[in-house]
Formats: sequence, structure tokens, C-alpha cells
Amino acid sequence: MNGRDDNEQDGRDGLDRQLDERLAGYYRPIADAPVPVRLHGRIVRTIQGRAEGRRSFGRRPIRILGRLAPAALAVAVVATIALASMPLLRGGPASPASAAPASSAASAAPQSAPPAVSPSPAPTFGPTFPGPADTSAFPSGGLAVTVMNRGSSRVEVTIGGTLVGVLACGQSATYPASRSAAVKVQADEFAGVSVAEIAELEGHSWYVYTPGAFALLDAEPTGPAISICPMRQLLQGTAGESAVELVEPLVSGTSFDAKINAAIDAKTREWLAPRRVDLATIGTSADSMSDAYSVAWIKHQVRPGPLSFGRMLAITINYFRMLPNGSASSQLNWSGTIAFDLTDGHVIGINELFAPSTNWLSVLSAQSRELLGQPADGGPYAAVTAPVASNFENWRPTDEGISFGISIKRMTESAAQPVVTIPWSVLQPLFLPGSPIIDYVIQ
Amino acid sequence: MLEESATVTLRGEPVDTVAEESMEAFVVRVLPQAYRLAAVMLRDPVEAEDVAHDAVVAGWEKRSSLRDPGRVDAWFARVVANRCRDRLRERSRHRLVELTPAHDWAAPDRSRDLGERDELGRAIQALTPDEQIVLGLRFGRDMEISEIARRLGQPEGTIKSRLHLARTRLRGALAASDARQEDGR
Repeated sequence: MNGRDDNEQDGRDGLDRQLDERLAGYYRPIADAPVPVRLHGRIVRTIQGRAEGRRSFGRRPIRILGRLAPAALAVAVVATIALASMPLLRGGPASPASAAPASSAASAAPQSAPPAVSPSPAPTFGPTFPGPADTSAFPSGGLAVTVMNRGSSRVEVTIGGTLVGVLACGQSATYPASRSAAVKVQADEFAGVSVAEIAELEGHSWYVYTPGAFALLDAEPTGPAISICPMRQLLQGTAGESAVELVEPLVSGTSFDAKINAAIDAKTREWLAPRRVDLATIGTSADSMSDAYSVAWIKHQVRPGPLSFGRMLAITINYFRMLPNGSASSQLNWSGTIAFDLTDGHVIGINELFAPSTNWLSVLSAQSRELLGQPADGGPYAAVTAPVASNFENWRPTDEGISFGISIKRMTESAAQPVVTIPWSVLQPLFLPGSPIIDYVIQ
Repeated sequence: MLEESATVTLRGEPVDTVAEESMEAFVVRVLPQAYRLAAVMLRDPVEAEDVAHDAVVAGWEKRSSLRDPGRVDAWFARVVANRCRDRLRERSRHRLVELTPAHDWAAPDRSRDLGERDELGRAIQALTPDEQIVLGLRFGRDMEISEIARRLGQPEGTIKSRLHLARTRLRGALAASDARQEDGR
């Protein structure tokens, strides 16, 4: 080897050393990261569930009574998980006590006739916690709290009014919490998160995803832990002085993760495509609204209600166009929902819910127009509420009924998308016996 | 958090311990290792959770067949690596939505260190899944090439080659990035 080769070799060695040092520095915090305590519980539950041969999904509801207060973000595609069914749920808010047919969680056979209605105890959750902590249920003797915080905000966690920690992105922590203590998550001034009460804490982990999205998952101690974290990031950056983040949920814990995630990804991109121009103009001179604002806010409410896991999994992807200062001008521009049948992972079409012999499309059309305050012919909403299935493809079960996102994007780009919720009492006579919706029974 | 002290290495555990210990004890014993392997391979804590979850569950279900204690850690490493490889492949199919440069989407306002870290992270992300896995074990778990080879059940030459290629690509990517920054000034 001549002198020149030696020099080149020395140079390469030097570069390698620099690179190696840089790599070691890069990996160090990753390698030192603590193991999330909730992971232990999740694994134990999975093993126990398998050992018991339980393949039914959720049996107990979780109830969040709380809300997410303003969180900062300019534009977000946020994913919320709602629902899923449980074998039988009664005792919801006062509403016409129609005898909803119910089947067991194992009623996967689509064509099975609904069993006879039988009384079922009301869910045990409530506005207060039942008693002192039984910390033996927690692997490390405390309450597992995970705050998924992907934004620039930090989240302070208080338990029983006492600040116990400040969490950064993706961290989880365990606290010697008392079940009798309300768990409150209060973010700092930049992104407030307040979860007033969370029932059924024992054995559950919960996540608050902020800004802009939330999930309450990993919930069923005996069933599979379905998760929508992490959000798959599609885009991140800044536009002008606003932050932009587009994410979509990644579902795990089902038997059909890949199938479900592929469907979510395809739908998200389908929805995203026509909005790319919109995204690209935020914070530019072409966007007169957001140029002047350095901070944008999102307001998002976590509506009280049971969330559980059952035969169905419905994911709502919301696109928010954030406007200034957390005022009422913050806007949900559109929303799309995909519902999956967890028995086989297929996307449930709206036409699978209803008996063909009924005039369900006409009912949905008429109800939507009425709820929108429109005349029978639909007025300006005539086209988007016409009795065709494509107008009602964005559906999601809720406590009160099935919510439909009206395809407002076909009307105007700037208006918020209206959502109508048709009550269960109206819909139940139309359901196809054995359809996936039957498992999701709320009076 | 699970304390570091809860970590018990798999190697050297008596055979009977693996077969007879309680499920809780098994999880506590193997989880930290599974999680940290997945973490350095995936560089994503939440995905690492999923992989560790699957690996530990699989480990528990196969515990009776893992008779050779000297092979248990290698078995775990291979299970974790296989699952991480799948996820890295999947990740590579879902790249960020690219916006045209004309819109001038600036990078997030971060410190220089964070910027460099992001840059290195992106460069690593561009490597093949196998290269990322080897890199994670070498620099995240501080394993020698022979140890990586043993854990992954692959020849040392293969590991050495992947490491060399990974370094070469990283140097190239980082140099190109530096050049772009210079041009922008």
C-alpha cells in the first residue's frame, strides 16, 4: 500500500469513527428507554386470554367522562376510535326503551337470528370510583397512565389534584394512584387536556393523544388489546407559522391488523388526495385566513359514552382545518369513517346493516334531511342526502344511534361537515338480523 | 416503569427455570430484553411494544421447546428481528406524502442537535431492514459482530458486510445532506 492509499485509508477510518460516535449517540437514548409498564399487563392479559381460549372481544365497557380541551395544531387528520360492540349493553341515557335485540359477542355467524332479549345488568361504570385502590392489579403497584403526546405541547398529569409528572411524547408512567381519586390530566397553557373522570381504571391502560386526537384503548383485561397507536405519520412540517401533521391510525391487536391497516391507509389517502392543494396553501399568501396567526388551536371533545371492543371496530378519520385562537372558527372540514368486522377484518358496508326488504335508504334520506332542518326534498342538501348508499358510507355507531357524516365536500370546500345521528329507535326495525350492527346494542 | 433491575438475561438460565417458572415471572424476565431489542431495531417505542408483545407471547407458548438455555436469547433475537424486519418493510412502503418543494415546507423549528438527529434517523430509515437491524444491534445494544451473528443465526461475514454497506450508505447520505445545506446558504 503506498502513501496515498494509507492517507485515504486513514481518512476513511476517521470518518468511520465519527460516524460510529454519531450512531452510538443516536441509539443511546433508544437503548436506554424504559420498558412501558403497561406492556407487561398487556402481555399477561394476552397470554391469559389465549390460555382461556377466549376469542370474544370486549365484555366490559369503558367510559370516559371528560373532554379534551384545546390542543394546538394547525391541521390534523385525527383518528378517533369509537365503539365496538359488547354482548349486551343496557342502561344508556334515557331514551325510548325499545327492546334492542342482542346477541353474544360470539355471534359471528352473520345470519344467526337475534336471540330473545333478556335483562342484563347495567354497566358498572359510574361517575364516582368505587373505592380504594387495589394496586395488586398493577404490575408495578400503580395506575398505568400513558399519554401519547406527539405535538409540541407537554402534558402534566395530576392525580387527586397533585401533580405527579410531566410527560413527553410517547412516555408512559406508573403512579401509585388510588382508584378513588379522579385522574385528571391537565396540560399546560399551550394544550389543555382534561379528563375529568375515568371509570373502570383497574386493569386498563388509557391513552390521551394530543393534540387533536384521542384514543382510549388497550382496554379489555381478558380480551385482545386493540390499539391504534402509533399513528402512522403521513406528513409533518410547517406551513408559514403553523404546524402541520397528518397521521392515520395503525390498528394492532386484532387478528386482521394488516388487512385493517391497509384499508385505513387506502381510505385515508383517498380522502387526503383532493385536499393536498388545500394543505399546500396553508400559511401562504393564497390562504388569507391563516397567514396572520402564529398559533392555531384545535378543540376536540371526548364525548361521554362507553367504548368497548366487540365485533365491530369503527375508525373515524377527521380532517380539521384549524383556524385562529381556539375560537368557534375551528372547524372540522370533513370526516370519514371505516367500520371493520373483527371476525374477519372486512370493511362493513352500510348495506350490510339493513334488511334489503326495508326501505332503509329512504329512511336514512328522510331522517337526514329532517335532522339537517331541511325540507323533504332536501333543499341545498338534496344531492348529498339522496337515498343512495354512497351518501351514507361514512357511518359510525354512537350511544344515540348511527352517525352519518354528510359528504359536504361535494357542496363546498370551506364549510364544516355536518353530522347527523339517526336514533337507534328509528333504525332498529330496519336492521338485518345477524348483521354486525346487532352486536352493538344501545337502547 | 419496569425497572432495569427486573432485567434478567436469558443466557445461563437453568432449563427447568424456563419450563416451570410462572407466566408473570417469565414475562418480567424476558420482556426488557425483547423490548430493547425491538426498540433499537425499529427506533419507534410504540412499534417496539407491539413486537415485544408478540415475541414474549410466542416465547411463552414455545417455552417448553426452548430446552437449550444457551439458545433462548438467540431464539428471542431472531423472533424479534423477523418481526421487526416485517415492520421495517411495511414502513418503507408507507413513506411520507411528498409535497412539492415549491411549497417550501420548512423543517420544524428544532435545535441543531435535533436536526442532526433527525437527519441521521432519516438516513437510517433509508437503509434496508436487515441493515437497520444490524446497525441497531451494533450501536444500540453494543454487540460485537460475532454476537450479532450468533443471535441472528447468520454468518459473521454477512453481518460484517451489512454493517459495511450500512456505514457506506450512511456516509453518502449524510454527505449529500451536508452538500444540500451548503448549497442552500
